[in-house]
Amino acid sequence: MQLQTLFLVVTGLTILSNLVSLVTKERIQGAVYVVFLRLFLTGEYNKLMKLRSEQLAINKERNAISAQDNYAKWTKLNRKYDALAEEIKKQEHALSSQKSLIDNYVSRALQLLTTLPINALKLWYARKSLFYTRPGTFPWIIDAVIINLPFLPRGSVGIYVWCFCVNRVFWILVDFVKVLTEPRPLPPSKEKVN
Amino acid sequence: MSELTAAEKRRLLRERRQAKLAATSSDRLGKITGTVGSHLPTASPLSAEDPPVSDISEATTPAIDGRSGDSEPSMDKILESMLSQGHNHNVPSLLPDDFMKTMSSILPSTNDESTEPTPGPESNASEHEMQLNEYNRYQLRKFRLGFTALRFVSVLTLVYFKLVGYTLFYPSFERLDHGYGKIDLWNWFTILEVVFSVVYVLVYRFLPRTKENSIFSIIEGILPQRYRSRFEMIVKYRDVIAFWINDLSVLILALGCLAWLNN
Repeated sequence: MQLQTLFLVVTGLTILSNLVSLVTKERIQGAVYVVFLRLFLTGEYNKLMKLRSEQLAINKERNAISAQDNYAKWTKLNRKYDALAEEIKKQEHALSSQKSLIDNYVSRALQLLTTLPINALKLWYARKSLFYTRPGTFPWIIDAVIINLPFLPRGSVGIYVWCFCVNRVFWILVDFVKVLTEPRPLPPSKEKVN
Repeated sequence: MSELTAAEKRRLLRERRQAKLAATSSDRLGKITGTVGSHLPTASPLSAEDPPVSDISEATTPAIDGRSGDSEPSMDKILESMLSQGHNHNVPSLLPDDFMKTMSSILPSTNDESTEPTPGPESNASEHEMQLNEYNRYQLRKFRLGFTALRFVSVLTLVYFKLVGYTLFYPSFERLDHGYGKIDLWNWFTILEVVFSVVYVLVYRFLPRTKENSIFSIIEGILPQRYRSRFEMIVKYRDVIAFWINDLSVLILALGCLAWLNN
């Protein structure tokens, strides 16, 4: 692989892997599952949604009437609610087996897209320089000891140091955005001293 | 009827007393032992006739399987009553009260609401401390990120003014055996780092103190008082080194982007 391509691929994979860590695997699995339901299991999904909305309506009607005054109607609604709950449970159970399968596939796909290739590239190109700095840019100690880890030619930057730098800057920027967007904690109220 | 003699009167009283005892003895015994309907014999052994002589071989051995008769409560029943003592105070205890209290305090009692701790002034103080710690941690985090952002901007500005435009000094994907002299990028970078480090060390004492759940806080807790100031110095310089590594990372990132753009 050419160095320019390797540089781009490694940078892209590092950023992608960090984005996946940021979003979290569980959220991605949930999103893929919803898309899968909408695309391939529309009938079952619609049935489940219909059952849930029916259950909600029955529950609302049941709560609106008094059990003592309209006992017969209340009992009838109660029975319908229980029957719907059973049906919903069965439907959810059928769909949940699909969900665990989807979760498994998504997890494997994420590993194949991010973890595996980046580790493979790191192993394969461990002793190859990614790019070279001009002699004179850094002093000897930086050129020969720090940026060329692990034991690469002097003045060159390898895949490990590059990934380290990309990761570090990425998480600092994420932290920065979090501090700006998250709600700030209120200062604690002063304790009354007697 | 002739008057009763004193002896006759005493005899009558004795008989009445014995009759009364015979009628109420089982109740009294039941109250003492806590069992109702006790099967223990109430008659005095001294008044009983001699039992018939029997062959010892005919004596039955006590049951090995625990069926020792209804007179003695079995170990299972005792344990059962012990376990239920925490929840049901109406069941009479077979064991002394203080022992029962000890056992019920050891055994968990899930239904007993009286054991829930009521919030007191100490818990209010710890809640205030937690809130304060959280607020301080947020402030410290905000300061550090702001300081880091300022440093990043400074490094990128330095790269822009000292490197951009000087294509001879751009990094490359090809190996370079010789340079074209030195540039003062690193010198200015070092000056910038020194200035920022001095500023941080000076400002450090004004920063809010937080209780972090890290290995450093554990070590700080273990160290004796006379070494704590030195340890604090190490923590301070740990931050300085971390900032320096961040800035170097940004510099290398900038150089990599320049190499890509110059390609």
